[in-house]
Amino acid sequence: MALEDYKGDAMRCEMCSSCKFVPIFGRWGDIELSEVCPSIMRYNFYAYGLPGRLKALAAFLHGRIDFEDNSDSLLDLIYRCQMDGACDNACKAAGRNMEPYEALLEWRIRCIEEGQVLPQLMPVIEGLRSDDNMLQKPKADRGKWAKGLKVKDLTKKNAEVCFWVGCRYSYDEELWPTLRKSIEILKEAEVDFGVFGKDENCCGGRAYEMGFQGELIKYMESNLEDWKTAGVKTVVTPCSDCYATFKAWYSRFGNKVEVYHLVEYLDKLIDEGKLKLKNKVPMTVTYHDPCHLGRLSEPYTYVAPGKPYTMPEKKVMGQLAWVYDVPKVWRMGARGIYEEPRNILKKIPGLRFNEMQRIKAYALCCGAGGGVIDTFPDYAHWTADNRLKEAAGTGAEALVTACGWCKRNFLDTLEETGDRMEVYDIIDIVQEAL
Amino acid sequence: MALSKEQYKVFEDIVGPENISDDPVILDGGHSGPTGFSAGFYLQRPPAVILPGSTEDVQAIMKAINRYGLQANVSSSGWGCLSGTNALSKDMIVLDMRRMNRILEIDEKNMCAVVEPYVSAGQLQGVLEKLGFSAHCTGAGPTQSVLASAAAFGGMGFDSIFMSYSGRNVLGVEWVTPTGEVARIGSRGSGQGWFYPDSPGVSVWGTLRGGFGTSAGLGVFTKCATKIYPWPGEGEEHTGVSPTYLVEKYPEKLKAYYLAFPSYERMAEAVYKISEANIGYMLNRIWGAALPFVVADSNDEVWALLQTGVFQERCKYGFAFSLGAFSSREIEYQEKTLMKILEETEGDTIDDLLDLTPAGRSRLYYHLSWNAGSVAAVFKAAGAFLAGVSYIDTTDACIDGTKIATEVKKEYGEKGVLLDDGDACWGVAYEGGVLSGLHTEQIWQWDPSEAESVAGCFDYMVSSIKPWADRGFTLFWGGKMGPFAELYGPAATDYQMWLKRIKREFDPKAVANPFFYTAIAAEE
Amino acid sequence: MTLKEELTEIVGADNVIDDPGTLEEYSKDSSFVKPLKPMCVVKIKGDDDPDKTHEEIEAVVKWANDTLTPLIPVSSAPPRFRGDTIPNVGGAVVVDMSQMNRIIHVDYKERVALVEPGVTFDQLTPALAKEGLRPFMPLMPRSSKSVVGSYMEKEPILQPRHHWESQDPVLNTMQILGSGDMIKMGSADMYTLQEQWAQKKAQKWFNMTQFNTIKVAQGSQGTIGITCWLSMKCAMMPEIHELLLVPSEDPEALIDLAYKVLRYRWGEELFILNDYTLASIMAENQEDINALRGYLPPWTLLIGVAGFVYYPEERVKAQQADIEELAGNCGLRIGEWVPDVRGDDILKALYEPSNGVPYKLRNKGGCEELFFVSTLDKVEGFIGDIYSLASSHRYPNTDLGVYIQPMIQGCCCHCEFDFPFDPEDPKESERVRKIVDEGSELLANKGALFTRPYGKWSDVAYRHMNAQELTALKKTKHIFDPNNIMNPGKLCF
Repeated sequence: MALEDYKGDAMRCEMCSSCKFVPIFGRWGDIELSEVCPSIMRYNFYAYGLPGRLKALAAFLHGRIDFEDNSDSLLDLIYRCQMDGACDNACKAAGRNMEPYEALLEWRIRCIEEGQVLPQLMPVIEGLRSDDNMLQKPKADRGKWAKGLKVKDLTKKNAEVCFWVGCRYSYDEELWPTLRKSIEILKEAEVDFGVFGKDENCCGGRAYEMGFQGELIKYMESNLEDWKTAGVKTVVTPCSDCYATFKAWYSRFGNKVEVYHLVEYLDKLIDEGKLKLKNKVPMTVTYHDPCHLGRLSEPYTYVAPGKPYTMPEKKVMGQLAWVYDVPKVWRMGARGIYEEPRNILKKIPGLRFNEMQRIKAYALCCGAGGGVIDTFPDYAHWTADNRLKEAAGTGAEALVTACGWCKRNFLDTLEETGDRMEVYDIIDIVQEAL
Repeated sequence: MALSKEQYKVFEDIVGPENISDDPVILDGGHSGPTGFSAGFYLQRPPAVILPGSTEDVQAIMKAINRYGLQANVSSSGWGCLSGTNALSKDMIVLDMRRMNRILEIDEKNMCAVVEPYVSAGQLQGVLEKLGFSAHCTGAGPTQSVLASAAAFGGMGFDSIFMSYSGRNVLGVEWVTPTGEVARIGSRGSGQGWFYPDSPGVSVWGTLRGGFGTSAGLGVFTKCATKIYPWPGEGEEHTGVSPTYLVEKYPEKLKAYYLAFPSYERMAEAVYKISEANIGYMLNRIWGAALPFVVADSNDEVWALLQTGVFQERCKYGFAFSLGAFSSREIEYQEKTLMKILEETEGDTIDDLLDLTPAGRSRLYYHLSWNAGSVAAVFKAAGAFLAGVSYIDTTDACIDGTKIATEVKKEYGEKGVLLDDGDACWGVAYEGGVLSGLHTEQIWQWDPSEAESVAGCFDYMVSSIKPWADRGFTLFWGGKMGPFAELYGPAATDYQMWLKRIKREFDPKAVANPFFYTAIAAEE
Repeated sequence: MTLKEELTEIVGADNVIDDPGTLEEYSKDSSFVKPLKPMCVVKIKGDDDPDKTHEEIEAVVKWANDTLTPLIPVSSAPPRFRGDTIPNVGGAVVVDMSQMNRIIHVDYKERVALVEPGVTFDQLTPALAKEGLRPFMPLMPRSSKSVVGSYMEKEPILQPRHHWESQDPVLNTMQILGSGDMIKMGSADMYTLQEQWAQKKAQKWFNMTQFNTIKVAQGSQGTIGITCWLSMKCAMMPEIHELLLVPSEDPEALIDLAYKVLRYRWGEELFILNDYTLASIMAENQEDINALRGYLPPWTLLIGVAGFVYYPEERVKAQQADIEELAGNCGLRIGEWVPDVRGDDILKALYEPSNGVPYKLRNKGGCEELFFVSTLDKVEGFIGDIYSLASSHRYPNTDLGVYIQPMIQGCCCHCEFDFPFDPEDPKESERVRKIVDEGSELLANKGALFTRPYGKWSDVAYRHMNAQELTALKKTKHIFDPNNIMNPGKLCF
């Protein structure tokens, strides 16, 4: 949809502020942990919450503010946001039938279309365009993580399952042990899988969330083609960003991908008895729901196969709006991967699991999303610090997550603050228990 | 009017550079419209928005505003533009109180909580629940500021039958006067705890709040003590992921119902009897066509339910109601009494209709325990709602008002410019057990992004004035505030004159937002 | 024309009284406030048309503004206490409304009554009973006590669960403010009363604007304006009404239980008395008081439980059982009587009109009070302090009355110490005066708030108030009484 199509939502937001808080059914408990939007939490000005952004969007669409006179401020407002979807979930949970996330995403796309690119994004996108990754690393180094591992190369051999690594895991050496453990686990479960190694591309999702829609489409088309060529039926990935991209963003353009996050896959294998968690892991942990594994992974539901998600809204009963000829299935954020990681953690012998206050569909972002880790790293770390403090408040010695981007941001933040908290990928914990 | 560099620097020195902005992007981000309350139009862009972090900051800001002949509006939680997120004149700086967000004290014994302006009803309730307490929440729902509704504005809520309205719950305030003095009003002002809002001898609080507060028209409230109440909702268990929760186990002592009656008269009778019986924790008069907005997920689902006509037919004269008790004996007595009242008034608990949607019962429960669905009930249909003519006094008078408003609304519903939902007035009971009164508020849903709907909205409001005025009902909650004081004051012992006298005494330079209070010329 | 002639033109010659006997009568009361004669007394009779009943008062106040004559409003017939109706300045006119005593309207369905200022509890109680209602009672007001006077003085009522805030049980008023302007507060603000009743309204919603002159005036000792009529919420007459008595050796456990009961809003009446006060309200004279108190427990918590229209017996039974359980948790036992006093007898004393001597005067003929507002958790400390202070002045603690009345649904309480004395004994009078003076200062430093600052408490209250609130308070006075004609000098202006 075009940005203009969200003018109605921008006008019809009545600034109830539900979007800033844990939805009420979730209870607000500790007041410091009742908010879900890092942007308003950090910057405080009303404009930085969803209602403020929507009103600024309305002003933009009405020509009161524009790129000519307000470029820096607009980009600052638009990009100091992790695009984590918490506001979207909370808005809908409060009962609104609007698409605030879509509106904010389209606004970013409009920025790029009009050549309004944050300077901090330039090296990132140039790196993507030249080397097909989001970390400004050489393309040739992408497969280094697999050195010495005997894994099927999907550019040469077919396999039903593609183990998709993603940019973060591919280049972040500190995360390589997790990848290696993943490979061991898949082998132990006797899964027939392969990898693309140095020929793996970016999924395009992070670029898309920065507004680079063209990049998403390019990589989507290329990846779909690669999978088809390699006979891949199922994609398994440890990366939550890639997972959401395949499941949600690709579906937005009419493509259905059979994709599992590794955590789902592990839960399934454990359930089927193919993996046995037998070793004790004596520690107290809490779990951080990655936004991309949770609320953002919910796919778009189609009116008909191949048709885009968008439908014209109609009004009935005078002014009953947001009614559709075919009842719309709203992306509420409730159908993400929430239970599987918890199932696994609860099954690990000796492990004590304490929940945080902000969980599942209303979990607080780690801070790395929406390009913020690249554009405003101080803000990314501020957000992670907030989350780490919440984790520490549960009495946990370790924070477990299921996303390389989250883990990286948490680790960097801990280094900066000097606070003590172990951060684990759930795959590491599972491997220890096997 | 833009601030001069010198002026900006003065404010910046008070709060720090990260807490002030005059950037048009920031200012248009919520401080200039458009919303339903502004009829979809843009309002004045303020010269700056400032985020004070303490009472001292507010004091210094108000002194500077006096010095420079500027004006101040105050936004607490920022619920809608009425709350003050907007500037209403070119010189009006917005004080956004977001950084003052602490619950300062909870005194369980003496049933009092002390909060700063940004603390919302849901936040307070969330903290209180763990202690076995709750607090009043207005119909605006969990995100409204506790302090704003208690000290500065107004508010009836579903819980008013048990907790009254916000103004009856105040136990003291800290007030930065328009001239920048800090006064603690009530027992706190005499160096005691927060337990009494009135000053010895003459109540200063009486000049600062009536049915409504001064709505930023007389300075800034920086702390407020409010009563807290016992919470009967212990023991609830649910499954699912937000927002699709299902209650698996309902609390033993908090029971939610929707009660439907065969006529307005029978419904009114039930309200009187409920009060006579001393029962009720929440009562929310949400009519048949509005109920689906609370119990269903999407407007598609709402539409599907309404197309059957069954809600409109069976629940036209009804209200959502909960019993709250604090012992097994008490809830048993209450349930038995309620059933007897239903028998006497031909009431129906519409159990079959609540089962039409998977989460129907759960939603109704959350509606009547956590004020969930407030936003859905008013914004979900068309985007915006407005509250027009209203009244608070007897249930019988309010029912008459409801009939009048519904009659006038017909034309607009049929024309398609408003949501055509067959009724016109939201209502809540207040202070059950003795008063058995009702507050009724004409509300209607409309689309601020559609010109015809905007026009219809205001036509309807204007058309409602005369037939209601003939019965003594007035615009906007029956309150004579701001422009309505000028409109109705002369017929009501000249309230508007008193507002001006108060304003002149406390705000000689007319710096505090006059729009929802009263305007005076600034003294030289 | 003389001032008297001008007043005569307004209220008629019969109603302007300045004979020395009358002036003497209005120059003093039972308090230690220094006597001062007014210039004259104006008797207001009002009008049978409730929408005109304020007109004489309005004219008198306007006249007072024109002539800058101090006015002292009085609603109750004597005996009067506390000094609030004694002029502080010379040349004052007493506006006596004790004969303006119409019960204008009673409505069971809405639980509302509307009365003029001269209506007494003794007059109102039977009138309401006919309609199935009863007034919210303060603790045994004297028979001549004006209902409007009591409520506007913020005397606490016995039922904290129905006391939402200090305004209760006042709903709407018509007042003539010090400026001479008439104002109607609440949903009665527009239209005449007759028209409102035709519109099915009942003058019951508190306020329709952004200030509240009822609150401003309550407790102001007539320094803001004069109430011409007042609507009040009324309690339903119970079908069954029992008073549970919880005896204790010390107040601590009773306060603990009171907090628990208040939290769940159980019970109707709820207050604590010491043996002396309980004996005083139950016995008619000194001899009986002295005899009875010897049998009574030192402290008693009194909790009324009532059943109304629906299953009254079951309601009473359930509440009684629940309260019993709470009492058990506090190590207390409840009953319907303590030795020699039955709950029913107490209820009778509380609710039935009594033409006898006010209970505080029954022992020695005089009584000096020390009362204020605080929180229940501070009460035990206050009791200790006052008992010590009384002992240090060799005042017998056994004669000291204590009345603890939770207010605002338990958020705070009225705490009252009564010091009976023989007015004919100057030494005892002086001793009591000293105890009260020292006690007020002592307790103000420990959490006592003199919300109704009679006599010297005014000095204490305003010394403890923050300067900005005091400034705001003076501004408030100036807004509503710009010429300071209403009872000048009584408070801090």
